[in-house]
Amino acid sequence: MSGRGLSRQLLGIGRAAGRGAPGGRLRFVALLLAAAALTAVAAAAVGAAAMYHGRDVRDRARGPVPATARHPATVLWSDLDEAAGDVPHWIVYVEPLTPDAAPPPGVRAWPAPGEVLLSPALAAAGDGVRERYGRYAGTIGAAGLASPAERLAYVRPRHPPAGAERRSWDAAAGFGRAYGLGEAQDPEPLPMLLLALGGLAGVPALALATVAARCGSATRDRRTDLLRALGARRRHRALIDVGEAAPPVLAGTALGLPPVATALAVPVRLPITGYVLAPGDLRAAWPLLAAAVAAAPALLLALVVALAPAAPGGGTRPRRFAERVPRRRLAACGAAFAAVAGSQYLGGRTGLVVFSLGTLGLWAAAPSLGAMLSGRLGRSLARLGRRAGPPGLLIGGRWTAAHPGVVVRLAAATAIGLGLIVQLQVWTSRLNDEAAAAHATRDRIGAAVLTVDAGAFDPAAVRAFTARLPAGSRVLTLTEGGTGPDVIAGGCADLRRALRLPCTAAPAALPLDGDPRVQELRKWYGENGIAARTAPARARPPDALLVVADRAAPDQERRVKRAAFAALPAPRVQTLGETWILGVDRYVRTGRWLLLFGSCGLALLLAAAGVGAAAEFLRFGPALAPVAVLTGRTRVFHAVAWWHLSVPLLVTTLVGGAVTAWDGLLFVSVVRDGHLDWGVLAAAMAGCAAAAVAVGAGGGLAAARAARRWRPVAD
Amino acid sequence: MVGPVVRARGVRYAVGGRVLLDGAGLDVPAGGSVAVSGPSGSGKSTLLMCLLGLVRPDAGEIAVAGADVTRMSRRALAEHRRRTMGMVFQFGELLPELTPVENAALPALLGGTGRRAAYAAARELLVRLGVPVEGTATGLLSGGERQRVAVARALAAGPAVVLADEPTGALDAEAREAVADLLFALPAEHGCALVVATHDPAVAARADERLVLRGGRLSAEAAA
Repeated sequence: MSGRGLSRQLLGIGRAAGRGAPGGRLRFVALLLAAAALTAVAAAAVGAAAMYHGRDVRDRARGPVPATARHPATVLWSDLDEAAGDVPHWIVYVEPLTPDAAPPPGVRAWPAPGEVLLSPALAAAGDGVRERYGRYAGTIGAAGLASPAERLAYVRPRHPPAGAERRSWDAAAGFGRAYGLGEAQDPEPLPMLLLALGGLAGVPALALATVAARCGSATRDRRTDLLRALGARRRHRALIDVGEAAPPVLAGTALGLPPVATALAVPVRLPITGYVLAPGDLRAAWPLLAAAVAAAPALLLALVVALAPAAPGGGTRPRRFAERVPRRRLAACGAAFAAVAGSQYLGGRTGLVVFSLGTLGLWAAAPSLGAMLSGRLGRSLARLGRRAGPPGLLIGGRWTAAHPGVVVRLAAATAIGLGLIVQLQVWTSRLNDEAAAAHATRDRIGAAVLTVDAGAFDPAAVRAFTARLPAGSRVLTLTEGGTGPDVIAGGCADLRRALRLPCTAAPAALPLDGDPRVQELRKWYGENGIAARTAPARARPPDALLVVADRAAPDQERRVKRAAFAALPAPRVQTLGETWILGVDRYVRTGRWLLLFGSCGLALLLAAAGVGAAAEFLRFGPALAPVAVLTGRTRVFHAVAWWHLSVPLLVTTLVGGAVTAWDGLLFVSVVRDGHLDWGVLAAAMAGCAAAAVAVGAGGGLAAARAARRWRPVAD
Repeated sequence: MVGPVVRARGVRYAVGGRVLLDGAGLDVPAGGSVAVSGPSGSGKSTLLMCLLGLVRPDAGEIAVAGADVTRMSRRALAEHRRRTMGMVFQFGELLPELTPVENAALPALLGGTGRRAAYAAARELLVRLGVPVEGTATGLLSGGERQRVAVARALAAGPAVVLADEPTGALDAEAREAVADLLFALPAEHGCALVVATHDPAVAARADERLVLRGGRLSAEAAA
């Protein structure tokens, strides 16, 4: 037979073998999922690179080119970062200087004086943003945005900047230089993102691929040994393995394609991060994307071939049942537990190091501890089954006690996955001390004190601003003291009514107790103290204005911002310390990416462990088939799977959730920062519980189905 | 005697164009034993599966304990099988993680018998058969002991007929003798019918009636 003909034959033999193999359906599903996961991860990696590239290209196109003698200024340009709630956005002030000045990318025509163009995401952000900066005149096109969800505004002031205000503007000869504006400002390096994707989602996808490749391997290994004995070379055996695995692998790749195709066609918002993918960027990278999508099944098929045993399986010793867990491993587990518990009393860096080592130790010891607990749980279930009578409980318990590895692998994946998710959440919820303090201040006084920073304050502009403020708002000035105390100044009535401060011509230190707003001001200003006085007739311009309200309405900040942007040049209106909150936004965003990848990784880990467990279950299942079939009670498989797989996993989920919560809360107390998000923990536990039930149901169904096909084969 | 416990007439079964049973028939009375011999692939196991009702013949009648198993619904058949039939396989087909008494009690437990009665009956049978009852997993027993547990399991529900498919095929000579002694003593001790499929002439020789399955038909074996 020709080489090609033989290859086709061998591929066909493999395909046929796959259809009839015990547990074939389970392996089909496992390979299908693994192929889909690898395709998704490979596409995500290429997608990330494409997004970064597209963002860089657009950032380069929209950055201002400084004017020079050879390239005179055609536009005045200034930028400002702002926020709607805690979500930052970026404002670019523009003022064309010549009639033929080209607008920035994504802007078809210059907005008229007093008009504003918003990115679609910013226009939909609410919080009064649409009316805040001027008359809304339309949206910025995709060519001018780093990503479809970027929050960006182009604002043209009512009047061209003049005087002192003009100094804060840059003269640009046009656009076309990398600047780092908006989302392109200080991004995480692409290699870091790819590393996180690879570590948190790629490795679990490979774990799933490995488990799927070896799922139900006993039959295949026997076949491989037989083929080897018959003279089949490695290439022949590989072709049969490929023929068997190819249909599910290709189907899984096909399953991974619709999300990729959707992302190529329309903007897709990613869960958790809220990041919107630019389809154009992906389309530009289609050759690489196609290569990645093709590489995923190739990698999986290569794994299938590579993981087939190269030499015949040796050993004729009988299988041994559960062994005892070495005492030293349990001691190590106890030491890790003690380290985590004791770290809170050490505090500081030492506490954190001890805590981290203890947590790693706990995770490492989880399988050993799980094996011991699983064995005990199994014996308890069997005793209960013996006393109460249900055969499913008895058999499930005996299997768990005799084969704790099945449960342990599943339980370890569950516990480590839960721990990973919660640790990611807690780590990324960490703010620095100032940001945490700013949140606390906001919780206490809301927007009752707002700072307004607008460069040089023109008295007429300040009057106009004051006139536009909501009723009950009073304006004070704040002048930084340099080496002396910062000074709050205002009219006598304003000082008295706004902050209940005495009227003194000489600066008087703020009282140490009393009005909570005063106490918050003391926290945030004046390294050298803070004082208040009545406004002198002649004073140097203040560094900031304070807008104080007796009882801040829920929309106080929004209304003050609107007044500020209407009257002052490029104002920055913030609650006390808000700048620290916005400063950590980058870390919060990074944390969300890690959480997204980690969640995918957890799902893949659970899938891998579930498939492994179901495959093992199918290996034991045939032993029960004769009795079950002869008595017509194949439902017993569901009961056994429930007690052998689902119940231990549900117990693990509960115990793992409790330990994880304890670990997370201890972490918060050790670093005195961040918080444990109970919603994330509950969602992760619900996912694990659902997986526990699904693994039991799947294992039971597959085993019952296999048992119904069982027939005596002695003859 | 009221009539045979197992009665098969004109049983025909073909699979993939190959006729395995072509008008096979046999009668086994209560307290009697029949050995079915024949070369490998002759259809001995298929015949047992037909008697168990796991395979429905293309034609013919099979009555076990007075009921035609070829015409019963799946549920009724399972119930009838639980009540009236016990089966011993070549490799025992026991759960190695369970104790012998748990293995022997399993069919009764699955059949809804109360746990006290099921375990007591299983324990009594195992003691009579000389198998360690507790304290060791079935997987750690010798081959002969495992087959005795399998016999106990087949007897646990007090069946009218015990079917055995190559019950000594995986045993050494000593264990084979012991298990054969045990099996062929069952009809007399328990009043049940025994059908043994075996290719071992020494085992077949112990049966009241020896049949050979050849060309799909059962015929009496000529005395040696």
